[in-house]
Amino acid sequence: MTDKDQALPTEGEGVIVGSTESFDDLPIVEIPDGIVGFPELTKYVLVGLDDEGMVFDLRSIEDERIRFVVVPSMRFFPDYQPEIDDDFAAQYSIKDSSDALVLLVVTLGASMADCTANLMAPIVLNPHKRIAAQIVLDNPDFSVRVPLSAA
Amino acid sequence: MLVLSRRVGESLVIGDNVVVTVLEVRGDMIRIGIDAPREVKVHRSEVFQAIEEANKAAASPAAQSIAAFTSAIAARKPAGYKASAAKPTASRPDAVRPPAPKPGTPPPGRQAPPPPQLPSKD
Repeated sequence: MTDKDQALPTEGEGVIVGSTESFDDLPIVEIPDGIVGFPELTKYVLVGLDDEGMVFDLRSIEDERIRFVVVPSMRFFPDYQPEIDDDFAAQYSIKDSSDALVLLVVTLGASMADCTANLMAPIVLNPHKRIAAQIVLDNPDFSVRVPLSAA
Repeated sequence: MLVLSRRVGESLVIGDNVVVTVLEVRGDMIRIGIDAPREVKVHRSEVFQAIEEANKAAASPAAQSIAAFTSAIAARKPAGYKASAAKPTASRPDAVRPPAPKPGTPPPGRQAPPPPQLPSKD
């Protein structure tokens, strides 16, 4: 892991440069507004961490220290259907659910029981355009720390 | 901090295109209307802070934690898949939602950029 972290390029003009292994092939995901708390980082790659598409690593290519473990919401919370407003849908070219992959940011804990997912602010990714945003749902039903063990 | 007094129905302008209007005052609750271009994000501050804190806590977990989490997820896969596996394709209610994913089959069109493999996973 650590070796690969070091291999991640820290600068990129839309192209991953100087990386080893398979990072060259990874498509860049643009997050124009950044992730809340990290507004300056707008380019990420999404790396699958398993064969089943259950866990992904969303890593910044602009700051190699920043990465997030994310999970597709439908794999853990199949009933979770955040509402996306029309402006957002237009801006991110989302016409139907196939244009939107909903990813939840996971906070890892010491054990599985302590791992939580952020349902209040999912990352909505348009896989065709490879643009994404973390949207803020102003809905008291969705917490920032929902135990994944409850999923 | 600039301090202004406003009555119900009065507004103030921030910058060129953000208008904040006091809509209603009831006890210690004030309803505010905000007109802003969509690139100006407006959030309740406690919500924004909660998300920021959660993101910072989530950012950059140790490689070991990621590995432990990934194997924990893989280990509980049978249980995790129960929800979707319990709905056979034939009896799926078609109307509302896209089909639940079948184990090991990334749903067409919903997947992120082709799920790349971590080279060092083995």
